[in-house]
Amino acid sequence: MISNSLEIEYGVKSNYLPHILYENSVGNIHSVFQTSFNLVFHDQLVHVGSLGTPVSAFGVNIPGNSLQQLLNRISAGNSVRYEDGKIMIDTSNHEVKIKLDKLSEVDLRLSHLPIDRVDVKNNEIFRLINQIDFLGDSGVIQSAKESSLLNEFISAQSDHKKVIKAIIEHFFGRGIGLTPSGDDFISGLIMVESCFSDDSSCREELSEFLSRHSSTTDVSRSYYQCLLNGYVSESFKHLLNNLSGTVEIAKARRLVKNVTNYGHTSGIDTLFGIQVALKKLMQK
Amino acid sequence: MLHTIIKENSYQDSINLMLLTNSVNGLDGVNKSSIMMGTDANKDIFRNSGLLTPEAESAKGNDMVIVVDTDDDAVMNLVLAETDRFLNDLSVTKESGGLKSVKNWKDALEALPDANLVLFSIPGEYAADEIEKALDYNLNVFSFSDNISIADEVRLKKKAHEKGLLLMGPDCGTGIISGIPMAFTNVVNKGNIGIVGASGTGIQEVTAMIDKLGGGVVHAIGTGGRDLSDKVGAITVKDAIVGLEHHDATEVIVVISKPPAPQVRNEVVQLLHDVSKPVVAIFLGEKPDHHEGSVYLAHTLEETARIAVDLANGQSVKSNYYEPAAHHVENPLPAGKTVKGLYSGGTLAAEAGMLISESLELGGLVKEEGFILKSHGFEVMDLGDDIYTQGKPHPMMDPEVRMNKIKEYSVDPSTGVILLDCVLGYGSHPDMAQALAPAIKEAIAVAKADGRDLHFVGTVVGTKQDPQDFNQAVATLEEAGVIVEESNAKAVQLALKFMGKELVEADKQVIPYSKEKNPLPALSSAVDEMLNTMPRVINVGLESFNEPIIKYGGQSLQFNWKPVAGGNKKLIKILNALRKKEEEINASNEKVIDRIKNSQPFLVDVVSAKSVIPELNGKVLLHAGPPITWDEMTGPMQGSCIGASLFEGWASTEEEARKQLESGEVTFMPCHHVHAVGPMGGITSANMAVLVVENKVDGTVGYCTMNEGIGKVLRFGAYSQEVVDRLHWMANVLGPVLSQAIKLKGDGINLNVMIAKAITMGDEFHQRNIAGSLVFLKEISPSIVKLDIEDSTKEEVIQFLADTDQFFLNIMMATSKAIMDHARKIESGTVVTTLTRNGKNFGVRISGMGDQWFTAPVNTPKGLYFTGYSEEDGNPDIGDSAITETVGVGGMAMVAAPGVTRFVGAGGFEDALRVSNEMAEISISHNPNWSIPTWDFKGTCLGIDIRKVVETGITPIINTGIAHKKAGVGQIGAGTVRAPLACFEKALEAYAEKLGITVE
Repeated sequence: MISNSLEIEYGVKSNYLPHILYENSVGNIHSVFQTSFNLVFHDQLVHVGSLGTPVSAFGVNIPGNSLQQLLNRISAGNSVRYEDGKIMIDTSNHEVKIKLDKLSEVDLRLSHLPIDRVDVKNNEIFRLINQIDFLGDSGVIQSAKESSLLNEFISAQSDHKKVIKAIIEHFFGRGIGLTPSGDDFISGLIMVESCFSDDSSCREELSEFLSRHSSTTDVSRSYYQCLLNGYVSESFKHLLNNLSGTVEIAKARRLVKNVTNYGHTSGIDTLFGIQVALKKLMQK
Repeated sequence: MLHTIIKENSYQDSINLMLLTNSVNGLDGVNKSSIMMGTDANKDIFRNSGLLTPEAESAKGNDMVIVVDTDDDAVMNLVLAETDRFLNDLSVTKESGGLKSVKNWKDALEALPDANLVLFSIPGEYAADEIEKALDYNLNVFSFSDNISIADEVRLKKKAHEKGLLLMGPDCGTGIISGIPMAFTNVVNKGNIGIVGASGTGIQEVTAMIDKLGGGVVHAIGTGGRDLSDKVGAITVKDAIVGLEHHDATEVIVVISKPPAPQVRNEVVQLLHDVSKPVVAIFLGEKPDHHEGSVYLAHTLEETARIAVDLANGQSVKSNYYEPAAHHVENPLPAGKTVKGLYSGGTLAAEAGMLISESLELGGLVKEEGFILKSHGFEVMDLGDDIYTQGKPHPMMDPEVRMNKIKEYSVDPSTGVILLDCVLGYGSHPDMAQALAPAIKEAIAVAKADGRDLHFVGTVVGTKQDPQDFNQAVATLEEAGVIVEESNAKAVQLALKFMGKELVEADKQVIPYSKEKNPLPALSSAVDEMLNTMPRVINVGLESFNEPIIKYGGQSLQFNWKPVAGGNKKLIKILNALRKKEEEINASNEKVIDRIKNSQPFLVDVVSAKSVIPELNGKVLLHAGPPITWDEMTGPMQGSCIGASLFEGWASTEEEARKQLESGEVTFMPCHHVHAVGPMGGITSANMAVLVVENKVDGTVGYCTMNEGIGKVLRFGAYSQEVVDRLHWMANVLGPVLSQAIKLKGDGINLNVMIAKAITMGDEFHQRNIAGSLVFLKEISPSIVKLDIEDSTKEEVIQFLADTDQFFLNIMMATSKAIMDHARKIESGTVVTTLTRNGKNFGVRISGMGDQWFTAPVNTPKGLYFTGYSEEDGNPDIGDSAITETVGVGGMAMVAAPGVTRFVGAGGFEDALRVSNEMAEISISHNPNWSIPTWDFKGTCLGIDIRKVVETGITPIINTGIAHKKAGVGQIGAGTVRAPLACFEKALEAYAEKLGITVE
C-alpha cells in the first residue's frame, strides 16, 4: 500500500543520462551509501547524490534534505522505472518520484581543447598537480614494474600502441575500492587524450579490452562507459577545461582540491593518470 | 485610552511584530495599536503615532512594548491572548521545523564550522557592527538589513574587499547563490546565467523572465542600491563580476543597475569589456543605441532577460527585442487622462517611470516622498520607499498602503490607468492578488458609477516554482479586472497605448570593441569558493529565510539574534572596542581563572575574629556587602548590629546599643575589606568565632562566622538573649572544639575534595548544603571524639553539627573568599571577583579594577515564603553569601541540586538545567574540580565575565534566604534573585576607560 509519496523536482543532472534512460526502462536500486545511492538500468549505473557535491558523469544531485528522506526509505533491490521524464522508485510503502525533466542539466561532455606546451607548463593547475606526492598518496604504483611501465609509456614513440595495451592490461581493475586505483589511473590517461590529443589509441584499446573482460567493479565500468562516450564527472570537467590557458591561483587550488577530495584515493589516482598523460604530451 | 504592556527581555524581530500588530489591530474594540521593541528609534515612531506612553518611554531595547488605543479596558485581555497565540505559533513552527538555532557567534561558528555566508535581517542600527563581526570571522555577508550609513557601507565594503570577501548589500533584498533562493526571491531554474544586480526587483523581474523564457540562473548577486555610487565605487559589483568571470558554470554575465555615478560607470563598463564572457548590462534610465564588442546594453528589464537567454543558448543577439503587448487598445482614453503607477518593487517603479517619461517627454524621474515620477499628473510611486515602510511591513508583504492608494486614485477623475506589480516568491505575501482584488474591483465600480473608464494594467513577477501559485495570481488579477501583461515593460507599453502613445524600440547594432583588454583584478579564494559550492548560511534574523535555503539544498543555521547590551549604543561601542583587545583581555582572564581552578582551600582553624582581623580593634563591626552607613542599613542588618553590641558587652540593652550605633560610636567596615565574608547581615565582631580557610597555593585566607542554624539567628537580625547566648557558646565551646579537632587532622581539611563529593550528592552550596554538612560531620566527628574534653561537650558539638543542615554554607563562603582573594591578585581582565549585597546596594568587583566597587540598588528576591509571609515582608537582597555564586556554585550551579530547585522557585529539573545553561553563557569556562553529574559531568561555571553579562543582558542568578524586613523576625523564605545589570555596566565602562577606550 502506498501511504506516503515523495516528489523531487529540484536539482541538477548529467547530460549523459539520456544515454542510459529510455522511456519505460526498468531497473533497481544497486547500492545504498550514507550520503548517496546508485540505481542500475541494464548494467549502467545512475548515481544520486546531494547538491553541493560534484555531479557524477552518470549522476543526479538533489537537495540534501530530500536525499536524506529518500535514503531513509529505500533499500538495495527496490524496483525502479523510468517513465515520462521521471524516475520512480517503489519501496514497500512509499513511492518516490525524481522528476528528471524538472532538473537542470549540467554539461559534462569533454570538449576538445587546443593545447600549448608552454601554456600547460605555466598553468597553475599543472604546477599544483606536479607538487602532489603520487608515490606516497596514490595507490597506483605498487612495484618497480609499474614505474617502468609508466616511464616506457611517457617516452614511447613508435610502438606506443603496444605500451598502451600493456598498461591497460596491467592496470585494468587493479587495486581496491569502488573504483580500483588502476581504473582511475586509466581514466586520467583517457581524459587527457580526449581533451588534448588527436590520437585515440587509449580509448580504442580500452574499448576493445572492455568488450572482452569484465574484471572490474560496476562503478568503474559505468565510468568507463561515460568516458568512452566523452563524459566525465563535474570536478574533472572543470579541471580539464582550465588546463589550457591561464587560471587564477585561487581557482586552481579549488579545482585541484575538488578532485583530490573525491573518493579515498580515487581523485589522486585519476590526477596521476592526468599527470602522466600530460608529461607524455609534453615529450612530443 | 492608551494601555501599555511591557514584556521585558522578550526580543522579537520587527517583521514578526508588524505582523502581530496587524493581527491585534484586527481585534474588535482596538482603535489602533503598535507593537515594537523599545529602541529609541521605535519610541520616535510611537511618539509620531501618538502612542508613546510614559511606560513605553521607559522601556529598554530588549523589551517588547505593546501600546493599544481602546475605549474598552476588557480588550486588553484579548490583546494579550492574541499576542501569546501569535508568538506561541512562531515557537511551535520553530520546534516542528527541527531547525538548529543558536544565540551567539561562538555557538554559531561551532554549530556550522564550514559556514561561508551570513544572511542578516536585523535592524539597521545594529547591523553594521554585526556585519563587521561576520567579516572578522572571514565570512561573506548578505545583508538584507538596511538603514546602514553610507560611511559604514564604504568602510565595511573596503574591509570585505581587502579580506577577499563579498559584502552583498546593505539593503540587498534578493539573491540567488548556487541556485539557492536567498531572502525575498523567486525560485528560478538553475542555468548558465550569472547576475550582478544593484537592485532587488530588477533582479526578480530579470530572473523570473529568464525562467519564463526557458533559461536558468546560477547566481544572482545583489549588491545594494548604493554600490555604484561614487562613494562606494562599485566595490561589490566589481568583485562579483570577477567572481563570475572565473565561475565555470556561468557562461553569460548580466549586470543590472540604476544609473551609476559617471566615473563608476566607466570603471564598471571597462571591467565588463575586460572579461572573456558575454555580458548583458542595463543601466536603468539610460537609453542605449548600440552594443559594443561582447557587452550588450539593454533598455528594459525584459530586453535584458531576452538577450541573456539568447546568449545562454549560444544564439546570436538580435538587433531588436521589442515585442508588442499581448493586449490591444481599441479606444485610447481622452486627453487629460493620466497613468498612475503603484509599485511594490522600486526598480519596477523606476522602469515604469522611465518608460513613461521618455515616451511622453515628462522630463525624467524624481525622488521625493515615494514618487519616482510626478509630472503633468502622471505619477509613479515606489511604495517600498522608507516613508511608507517605517514601522510597517514592505508592500510586498502588506497590501494596506496600496489598497488605500488605489482608493485615492480611483476617485481622481484624471486617472485613466493604474499600473501595478504583483511580486511573488519567498518573503512576499502568500496571495497578494487576492488581497488587492476587492480594492481593484471597488475602484473600477466607483469609476464606472461616475461614468469614467478606469483601467488596471499589471504584471506578475514570479515563476511557476514559486511558493505562491503563479497561474492563480494571474487569474485572480484578471478576474478582478486587471489586464495582466507578461512583463512590466509590456504593461507600461499597454498603459501608454491607453494614452494614445506607441512605445517602440529602435534597432541596436554591435560596434566592435577595439581597445586592448586589461588584466582582471585577482580572484579571491573566499568568493571563488562561495560561487562554486552550495551555501552554508548563518541566518541572523528572520527565521523564515531558512526555509528556501534548506529546501533547495543549502545548509542554514538559525542565529536568534538579540541586540547586545540591550541595544545600549554606548555599551555596544565599548564592547566592540574591547573586542579589538580581546586577546590581551582573554589572556588576563585565563590567568585569573587559572588561579580559581588551581586553588587549594583547606579548613585550618576556628578562632576569634579579632585574633586574625586586626581591624576589629575597639568598637568595630564588619558587615555584608559594599560599604554602608547605619542610616542606610535595612532592619535585619541593624538588628544584627544590636545583637553584636549585646554580645560584645558594649551595651546591655537594645536602647543603649541603638544609641551607640546611631551616634557613630561604632565603626562599620565591609567584611570583604578584611578577607572575610558574612552571611545575610554579615555582622561580625571581635569575639565571634570565625572559620579560617587557607588557600595553600600562596597562603591567602578567607574568614567567615559559623552557621548558627535556623530560627532566631543573628544573621537575620534577631538579637534576643537566646541568640546572644548561642553566640557565646559558639565562641567559647564550638569554636575551640572544632579548632582542636581540625588540628588533629594535620594540614587541615582539604575542602576541594569535600566540595567535589558533596556536589555529586546534590548540593549547590548556597541553598542546599546538607551533603556538605554531612561530609564535614563524617570527617570531623572521629577527631572530636578523640579530644580530651567532657563527653557532654563532644555530644553538644556533634549534635549541633548534626542539626545544622546549612553548617557547610559558611565553610563554602570562607572557601570561596580564600579562592577569589587569591585570584584577585591578578589585577587585570574582566572576571567578576566579588558579588555581594548590603540590603541597599548590590556590589560587584572585577579583576581588572582591583578594590573598586560598582554598585546598584539591590533587587528583592522572588521565591517561596513561609506561611503567613509574602514578598511584601521580604527584605531587599542582603549578604556576602553570593561569594558562592562568584566562585561558580549556588545559583550558578542550580542543576546540581534538583532537590531544592522547586524551593528556590526555579520550577522543575528542566528549569534548573536552563538556569545553569544560561549561567554558562556568561561564564568563561568550567571548573573541572567540581564536576556536576546532572550536567553530564560538566564542571561548575568558572569565571563570570562582565563582557558577557553586559553583552547578553544575563546577570548572575543567586540562590538566597529571604530575611524579614523588620529586625529580629528572622528568615521568612528562600528564593532566587538576580544581580542588577547596572553594576556590571558601570564596571565595564570603568574598565574600558582604564584601557584608554573613550566613547561618546
